[in-house]
Amino acid sequence: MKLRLKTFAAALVTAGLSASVSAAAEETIKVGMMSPNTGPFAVIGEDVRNGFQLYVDEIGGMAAGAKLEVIFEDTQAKPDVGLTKIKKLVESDGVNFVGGIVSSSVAYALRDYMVEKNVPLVVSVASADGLTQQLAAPNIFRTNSSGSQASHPFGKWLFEQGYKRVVMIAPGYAMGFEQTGGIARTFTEAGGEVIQSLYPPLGTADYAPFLTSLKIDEADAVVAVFAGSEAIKFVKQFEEYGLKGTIPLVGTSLLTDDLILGQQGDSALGIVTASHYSSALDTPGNAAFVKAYREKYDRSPTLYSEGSYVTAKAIHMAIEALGGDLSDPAKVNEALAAVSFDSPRGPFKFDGYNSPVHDIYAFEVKRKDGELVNEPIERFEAVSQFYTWSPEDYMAMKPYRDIANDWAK
Amino acid sequence: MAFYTIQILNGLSLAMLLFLIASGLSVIFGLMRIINLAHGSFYLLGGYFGLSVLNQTGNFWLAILVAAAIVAAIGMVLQRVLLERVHGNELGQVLMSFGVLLVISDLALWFWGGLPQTLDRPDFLDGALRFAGLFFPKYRVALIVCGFAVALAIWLIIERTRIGAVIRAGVDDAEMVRAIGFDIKMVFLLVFGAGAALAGAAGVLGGAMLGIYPGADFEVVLQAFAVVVIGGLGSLRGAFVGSLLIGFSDTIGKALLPEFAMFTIFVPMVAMLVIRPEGLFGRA
Repeated sequence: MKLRLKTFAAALVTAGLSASVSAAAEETIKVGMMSPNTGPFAVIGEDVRNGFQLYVDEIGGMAAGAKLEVIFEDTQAKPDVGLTKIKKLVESDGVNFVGGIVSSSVAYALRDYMVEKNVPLVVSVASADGLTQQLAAPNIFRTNSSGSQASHPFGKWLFEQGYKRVVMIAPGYAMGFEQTGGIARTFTEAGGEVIQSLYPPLGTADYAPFLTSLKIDEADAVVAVFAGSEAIKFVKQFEEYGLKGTIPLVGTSLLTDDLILGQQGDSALGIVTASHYSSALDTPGNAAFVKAYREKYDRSPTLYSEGSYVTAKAIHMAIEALGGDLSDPAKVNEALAAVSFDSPRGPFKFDGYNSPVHDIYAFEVKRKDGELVNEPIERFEAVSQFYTWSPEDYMAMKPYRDIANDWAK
Repeated sequence: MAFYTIQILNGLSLAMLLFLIASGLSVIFGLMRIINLAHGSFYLLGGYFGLSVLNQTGNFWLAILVAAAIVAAIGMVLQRVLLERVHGNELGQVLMSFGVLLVISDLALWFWGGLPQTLDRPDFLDGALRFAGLFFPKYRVALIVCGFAVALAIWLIIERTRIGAVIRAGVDDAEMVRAIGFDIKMVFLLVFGAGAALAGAAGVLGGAMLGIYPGADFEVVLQAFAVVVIGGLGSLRGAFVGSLLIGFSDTIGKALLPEFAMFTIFVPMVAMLVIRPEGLFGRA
């Protein structure tokens, strides 16, 4: 019996040794991918996974000679779940990078932990300004526009298009405040006037009461920022209540993004929004990306899938730049911060706070070959999250959520 | 004046949608003392089944019928297999029905996907009515008419038919109804099924007004409970008046005081809990 146990133990040890030897022989780089698979954001989570997977497949699952292993985790878009999952990825899977993250509240919840562990976190979607401003850290990156990034050039442009007075409506939380705030700031600086701002709470079932109290008689345009099912409802009700055709509707990309445009149908025609990406973009990299994505997933990519594709590419470029040596965390962060490449949206690089510098477009919803698309009608070159301000000046200003009610005169 | 006309119509249309959902919830509670949070799932499933039928056949009326029938069947299975086990145990009911709500919500996500969807209305209800320079969606007018018709029908059934008499008796004293020879379990089952069917039909009607998407179940069940709290548990009249109150306070409150939009539903509810916890027409 004793002998048997010994043999058994010896066998175990040998097996363990050989396992570790074979692991060392084949280098593996692990990337954690966090996105919601369940709950209201699940559909965005799917785009995020698809975009990431598409890029990993394009490079044959290899980076700098090492095998790239992607571990997907469901955040459920809940901060506490996200934190549990990322601890699992970092501590038990030992991932080298984490990408994904749709909800800003999840991103904020993970931020301190990731800074402490110093594992690079490349956020694909969550847009909260603070992540790459006041709370910026060497290992926190973002590939999506920050909350007000697309709004800044757009607000000024709206004024130049001849709009002098606008009413604003957006959901009453950070996203709505940041995206309308950015527009309001440059629009009013250019000489425009915000005559009314309404912030219906998140989860408003019916926009009819708000729509009917907009002061459209005194305004030249309605600025609206909504996302997902709320954007569908808002755009449809805007038409039902006879506002479409009476007054132009403008906003930010989420109002008519490629994910929901089909559901909005003709009620979305003519809406003008600002963003860094739409599947109708005419950049050198986009045609191939859209084609590959459609072939693989049988639908058009969205800014979510593109953001995640760019996340994967940024991580890949950093690994290549280091020749696969990820032993020094500081160098990994530096390599990531230094990446610069052509992406579907156009030239991509990070600013000094790890948020992208990229072209912003004004898009108009049009029908092309029977399909609704966000057609680019204007380009603003190489816009950063700080627009024309210096980072210090910009961050010295009050955050948009604190001044949301001060725009309207 | 135009402003208020529109707001009143808005309030009415929301109220009628709420009534379709809350009436079932309230009568089920009155009769069976079941706190059924999964009532929101009936709305969600109704919307999605309606969507599937609509995509297959393009027939809106068929979509309502099929959705109501399927959801009624699901409701009855749920009542027999799960909820009956926790009869009389309020905490058990809340936990179990909330669990069901979560499970169904993710099953629906799995089956129909997470993309928000809209149900196409019948052509003749599309577009807006115009009168005196005002726009009002035709569909909402139809919904208001439909809500009043359903309210009248339920009232007639409960007040004027034999089965209605049994239900009313059951609300007062279920044991006695059983003692005089009625199969009270069957009555429970049928009422539960009918309540589920109403919520299922509301899912189709509401889906065509507000869209159907993951999370609609939670939104709806919250509002329905506010209605039931205000109207009084178990009272049909309460559900009707409660729906009107919530519908109006929500729309007019949001239109006049948009800064307080979060409170337009819950302030009346909390006020009612303080002043008259049993609700307008409820019995303590």
